Amino acid sequence: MPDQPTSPTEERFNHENKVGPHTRIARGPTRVWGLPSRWGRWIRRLAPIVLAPTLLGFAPHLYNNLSFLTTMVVYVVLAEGVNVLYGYTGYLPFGYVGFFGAGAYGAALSISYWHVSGFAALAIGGLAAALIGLVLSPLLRLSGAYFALATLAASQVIYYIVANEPWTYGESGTSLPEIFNANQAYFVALGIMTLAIAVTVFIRESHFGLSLRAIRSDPVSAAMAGINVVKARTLAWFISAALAGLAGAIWAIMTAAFYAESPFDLTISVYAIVFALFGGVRTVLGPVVGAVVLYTLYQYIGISNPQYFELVYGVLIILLVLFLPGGLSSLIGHSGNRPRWLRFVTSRVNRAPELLSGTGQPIPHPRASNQDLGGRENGRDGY
Amino acid sequence: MTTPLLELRNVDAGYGTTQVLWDVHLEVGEGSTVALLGTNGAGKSTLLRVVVGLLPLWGGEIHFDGKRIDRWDPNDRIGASISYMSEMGVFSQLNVEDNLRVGGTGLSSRDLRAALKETWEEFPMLAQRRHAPAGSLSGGQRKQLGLAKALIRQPRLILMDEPSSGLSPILVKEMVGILAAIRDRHQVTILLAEQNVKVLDLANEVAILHGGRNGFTGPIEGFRAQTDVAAQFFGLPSAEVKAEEPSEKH
Repeated sequence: MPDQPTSPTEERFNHENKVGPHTRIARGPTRVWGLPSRWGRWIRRLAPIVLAPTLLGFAPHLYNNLSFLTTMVVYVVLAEGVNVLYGYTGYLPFGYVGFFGAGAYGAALSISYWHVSGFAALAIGGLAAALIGLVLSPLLRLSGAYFALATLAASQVIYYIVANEPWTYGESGTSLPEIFNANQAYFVALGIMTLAIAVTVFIRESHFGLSLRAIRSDPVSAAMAGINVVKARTLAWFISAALAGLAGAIWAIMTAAFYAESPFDLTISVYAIVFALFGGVRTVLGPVVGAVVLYTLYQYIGISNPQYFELVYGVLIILLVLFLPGGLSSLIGHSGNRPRWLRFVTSRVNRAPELLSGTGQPIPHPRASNQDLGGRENGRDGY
Repeated sequence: MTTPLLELRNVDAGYGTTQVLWDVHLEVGEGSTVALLGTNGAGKSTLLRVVVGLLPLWGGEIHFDGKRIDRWDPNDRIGASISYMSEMGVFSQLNVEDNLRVGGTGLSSRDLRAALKETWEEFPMLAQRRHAPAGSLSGGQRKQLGLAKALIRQPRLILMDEPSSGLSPILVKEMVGILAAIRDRHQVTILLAEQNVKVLDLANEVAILHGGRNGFTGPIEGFRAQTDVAAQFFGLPSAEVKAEEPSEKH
C-alpha cells in the first residue's frame, strides 16, 4: 500500500480502501444460526440431509397414497439432479429423461435377465445412466440452447432404440416380479433422495462446488486459476446422470409393468426442470420444496381437472420468471438473493413500527446502496 | 548469463487465419519486471495468452525454467508456477473470499488457510469486503482482488494484462505502488502488458511490440534514453517519458 495520502484529491480517490463510517468490517462467520461456527457449520450441512427424509418419512401417516408419494420423491431426486447440472454448471438438460429411462431399463433388464436383488438393480440402473452419460459427454462441448436440444435428441435416440429392440421387450413391455412392496419402495426412494441431498450438500460445501461456480461465472478465468474445467464439468454431468438413473431404477421397480414411452416421457424432463427452478437452483432444499409443492398441486388439480392444471402451471411459471427468478428459496435466506421489490417490501414491513410512530430515519432506496436495509451486506452467494 | 525464467523463441501465433505475432523473441530473467509495451492490437495480450496456453502456438518455442512448455496443457503451466491476471479476471458472482479460494485451487486446505491469512494482511481492503460479491467492487478493488488471486499460489512468474486499464491516474499510481511492494516482498517475476507510461516506474526492462514484431528491447534506462522511440509509443512529449517521476497533470 502506498504511504499516506498527500493531497485532498488523492485522499478522495483513496477513500474506497479506507474504513469509513459505512464500511462493515467482515469477520468470519463466528456464529451460524446462533451457534458457534464450527457446530453451526456441521448443523447447516447435516440438517437438510436429516430433516427432509425424516419429514417425508412421516408423510404416509398424513396421506396414505404410496404410489403418489414415491413418484413425488422420485421427482425430488430428479429435480436435485437437474440442480447439480443446471444450477452448478449452467447446462440445461432438456433430454434429462434419457438418463431416467436408462436407469429404469438398466434396473428392469438386470432383474429380468439376471434376477439380481433390488439393491443391485438400483446400482445397475445408476451405472447404466452414468454409462449413457459417458457416451454423451462430448455434448458438453456444446453450450446453451444447442446443448439443451442435443440432449433432447439424444434422449429420443435412446427411446427409439429401447422401444424397438426385442431384447429390451420393446414390443411386449417390461413386466417385473414384485421386488419391494409399496412401503419398502417408498423408503428406498427416500434413501435415494437422502443420497441426492447429501451429494448436493457436498457440492455446495466443497472446493469442487466452488470450482463449478467459478466455471459457471467465467470458464476461461477458472482454467487460468488452475481448475480443470473439462474434468469438473464431466464429473458434475456423471453425478447428475447417476442420480437420474437411480430415480429411474426405483421408479421401474415400483411400476413393474411399463412400456418404453412411460420412462422416456418428455414431460418428466420438463417437470424436473420446472420443479428445480420453482424451488430455486444452487440451493440444497429448493428443488425438494419445488418438487413437493408442485407435484402435490399436480395431484390435486392435475388429476381431476387437467385442463385447469396446465393453466395454473403456466401462470405459475410466468409469475415465477417475472417476480421470483431465484425460485421459492430466494424468499428466505440471504436477503441479497431476494428480488429488489421484495427487499423493498420487507424493509418497510420490518421498520413499520418506527415509521408509524414517526421516529424512523428516511429509508434509502435499495438501489442506492449495496447494503440491504436490514444492515447485512447483500449478494452473498446464498443457498 | 544465467538462463532466463521465461524465454520465447521465434514465436508465431494468431487467431483463426490472422497472424498476430511474427517471429517474436523475449527473455524474462528471474526477479525482473518486464513491461511489454505497444499500442492497441500490437499483440501484447496475444503474447501473454500464448505463454499461458490460451492460444496455440503456430511456430517457435516457449521455455519456462529450462523446460519447453509450449505443448503443455494450460493447467500444467499454471501448476508450473505461472499465474495469469487477465484484464477483468474476477468471478463477479462469487464473493471475495471464494474468488481467492478458487485462485488457490490445488493448495492443501492448511496452505490455503495460511495464504488467505497472509492475503488479508496484505490487502486490508479485501479483508473488509471478504463476503461481498466481487461484482460489487469498484474497478480498483477488482484489480486488487485479481492481483491477490494471482498471488495466492505464490507463483514465480505473473503475467499481467493491463493492470492499470480503466483506473484513474491516481489509482494507477496506487496500483504501481502495490505492485512494487508485492514484487519486493514475494520476489516474483512480472511480465506485464501495458499502455500506461506510469508502469515504467515499476519496470526494469522494456520490450516493445510493434505490429506483432519485436521493437526496442532492453533495460529501462536505454528506453528512456531513446526518447524518440518512447515518445512515439506513448504519443507524449519526450520529456515526460524521460522524467524519473512523470509529473501529474491536473
